Amino acid sequence: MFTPRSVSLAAALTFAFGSSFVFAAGPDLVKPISQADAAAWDIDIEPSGAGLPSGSGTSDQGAPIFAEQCSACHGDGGRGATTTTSGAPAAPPVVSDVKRNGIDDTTLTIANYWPYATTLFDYIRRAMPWTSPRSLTDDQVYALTAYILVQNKLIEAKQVINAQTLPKVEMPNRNGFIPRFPERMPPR
Amino acid sequence: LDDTIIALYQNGEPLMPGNGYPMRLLLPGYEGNMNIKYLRRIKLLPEPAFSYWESQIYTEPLPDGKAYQFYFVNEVKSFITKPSPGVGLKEPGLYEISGLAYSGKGRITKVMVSADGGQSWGEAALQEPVLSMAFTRFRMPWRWNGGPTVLQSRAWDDGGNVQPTRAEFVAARGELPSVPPLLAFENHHFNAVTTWAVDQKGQVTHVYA
Repeated sequence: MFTPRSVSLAAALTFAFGSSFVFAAGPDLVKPISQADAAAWDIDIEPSGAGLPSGSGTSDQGAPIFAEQCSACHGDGGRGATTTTSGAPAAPPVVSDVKRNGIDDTTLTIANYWPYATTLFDYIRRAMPWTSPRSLTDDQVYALTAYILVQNKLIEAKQVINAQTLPKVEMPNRNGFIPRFPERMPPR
Repeated sequence: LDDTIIALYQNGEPLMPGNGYPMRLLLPGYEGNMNIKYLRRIKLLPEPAFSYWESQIYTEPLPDGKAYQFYFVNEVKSFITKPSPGVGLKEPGLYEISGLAYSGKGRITKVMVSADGGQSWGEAALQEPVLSMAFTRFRMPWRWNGGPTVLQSRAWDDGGNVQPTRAEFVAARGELPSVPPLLAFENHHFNAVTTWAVDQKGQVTHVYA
């Protein structure tokens, strides 16, 4: 299972250390994962909406889910908590009208900074609730996404969020970014 | 990315668990978080996914309200490791200043060291092998006369990139109103000259200069 690169690396290391050593037999990587097993990991969402599952939700549906699943760490209405019921460090607010102040990272919010709303669905489904990620249904994730967007005044209160509507949400800071190394960017 | 590898071994043995066993991505020159440990799969997308981390945490807000994104490369940087805070001087006499330099854009070509707060500079010796996008150890003999002084290092790479002074960095990138907490995410890519102050007891502290 050696590539030419790893062989040359071995030779270089041998030279560098001035003594010879031998790698053990090739890496035991067991067996290739099946497509079905990999599908459970294949959950990334793109700004275009690619990857979004079927299902939908509204802010009204999301409010009680947020109260039960999220507010212990993110605070009532998502406005942040100083302590959590478990004593764990509080999570950042997800609803805020803070204005960004220059380079101060602590003033960056979903509403004033994130370029795409699809990120909300991806992250909530992937990582939340912190204590039991992947425990929410897709409908619940859509509802929580809608709730956070409404609370941040980014969409209308009754807007249904689904695979078609979420990529169309316009985030205020969509054009607020520039690549650090434009010469390294692929042509568009 | 023609130098990207999927690493299975390090120094002749399988990767240690803390380094990502059984395999990890290795992207020379890129910031550490991109070098994914415990690599499971690689999926190529037609556009960036803009996950939470690349949307907020690994961007760099600028004073004018814009922000840098896709800031993967660690730019040319150096710092003195000896002496340094916690590694002080015992008594006046001959010492070796040494430290590390690196550039995510190429090979270190020169490191200059100052022992008088930047008034005069001498070129440090670079320890071979000097490899592209790799830590490069530099050394400089120095006689400490026992008085307070200020130590600095500054690096250059073979792409003509120069480590900025702190003043240059602040002018371009702004300055936080207070010292950020140690575990904060601010200024990931701060690469300006780092300054150590030496007091009369030989103790070393971090200062801005």
